[in-house]
Amino acid sequence: MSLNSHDPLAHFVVEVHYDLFLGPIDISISNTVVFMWLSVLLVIGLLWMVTRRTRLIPGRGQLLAEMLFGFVRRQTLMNIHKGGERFVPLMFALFTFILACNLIGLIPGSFTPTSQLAVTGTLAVSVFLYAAGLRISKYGWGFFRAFAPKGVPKLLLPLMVPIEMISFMARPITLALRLFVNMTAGHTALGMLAVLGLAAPWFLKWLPFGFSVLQIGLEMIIAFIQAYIFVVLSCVYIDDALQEH
Amino acid sequence: MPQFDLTFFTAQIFWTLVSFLVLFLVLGRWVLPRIADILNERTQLIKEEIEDARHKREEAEELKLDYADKLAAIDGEAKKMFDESEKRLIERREQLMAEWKEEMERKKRDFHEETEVARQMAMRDIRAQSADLITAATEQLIHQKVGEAEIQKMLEESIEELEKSSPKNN
Repeated sequence: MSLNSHDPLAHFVVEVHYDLFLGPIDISISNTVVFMWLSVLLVIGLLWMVTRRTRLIPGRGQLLAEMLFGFVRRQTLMNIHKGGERFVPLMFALFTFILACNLIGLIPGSFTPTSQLAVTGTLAVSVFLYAAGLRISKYGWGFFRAFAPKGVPKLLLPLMVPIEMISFMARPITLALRLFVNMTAGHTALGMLAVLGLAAPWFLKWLPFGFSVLQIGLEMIIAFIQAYIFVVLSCVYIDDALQEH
Repeated sequence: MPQFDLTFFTAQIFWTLVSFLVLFLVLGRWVLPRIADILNERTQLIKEEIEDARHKREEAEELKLDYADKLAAIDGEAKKMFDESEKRLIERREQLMAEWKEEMERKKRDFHEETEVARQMAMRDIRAQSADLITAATEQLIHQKVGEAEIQKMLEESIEELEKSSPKNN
């Protein structure tokens, strides 16, 4: 998180560090990408380190990794009722990726990849398309039966089908926006408090800085909760795709 | 808002997908199997320990039942032995009592017989001495000789009267 006293949203500006193209596609390395890589490296590095020599009686690091894995596994199995076990690695990767991207932005001078709509949108649309793909591969044209729930009177179908379709299509948007907005709002508030702390007279500096500390604590909780919500909703969408309608 | 600037969307989308895929592959290939393995190993070990404990508890239950059976058998045996011993003691006591009673009866009989013999001997002595005394006394009283047959007759009559008047000995 970098500070700019003139623009509270300045620390969300994407800065390109290296121009790169794959044919006509722009794949430039920006601060988003750098901090996303750092997040990925952090997750892999930490988990690699604590699980390098696993022991039957775990140390602190291994215990934390096992707790994290157990937590994600429980949530996955609770929300994907049939064959949830095969989605555990995917959900664990999703959870750790979002959590690391959320948390890395709390380091002063860093950047929050999940405060970018493109990032959260990519993740949300990927989950949405994956769930839709699962449903299509399982039920074929039966995919569309989900928009006409069983037991609904035929008279109501012209009303129900559009509502169901809108609700279905809104899933990736809400999923992406929820994470993006939470991260943006939290980091903006943090930035504002920090700028306020810098701008305040010396005898009042403790007030915004004190709030900053509280806000950072709150942001850490929010980072975890948002990753959790994203994963749980992803599980719900996958479960919904696998259920018969 | 800078996040809505479409200029960087393609790069961000591309690298998000690549980064996530790399993370997913690395975790799925190297990290998660280790965690899953150690968790399974621990679960297996706990299951084995529980199973072992269950076996041991069953064995202990069996041993307990076995001991209870043995204790019951020992109790029965002890009771049987005690009953037999008591029965033998009672029989022995009855036998001893019978022998003692028989002995006492025999002694009583012997005693009666001896008493009777002594009495008869005493009576004979008394008669003999009494006859002499009576003869002497009578001769002094009447100053003449009394026939021995008469004295004997008088004596017999006196003794008979004495026997009639005196209480019977057992």
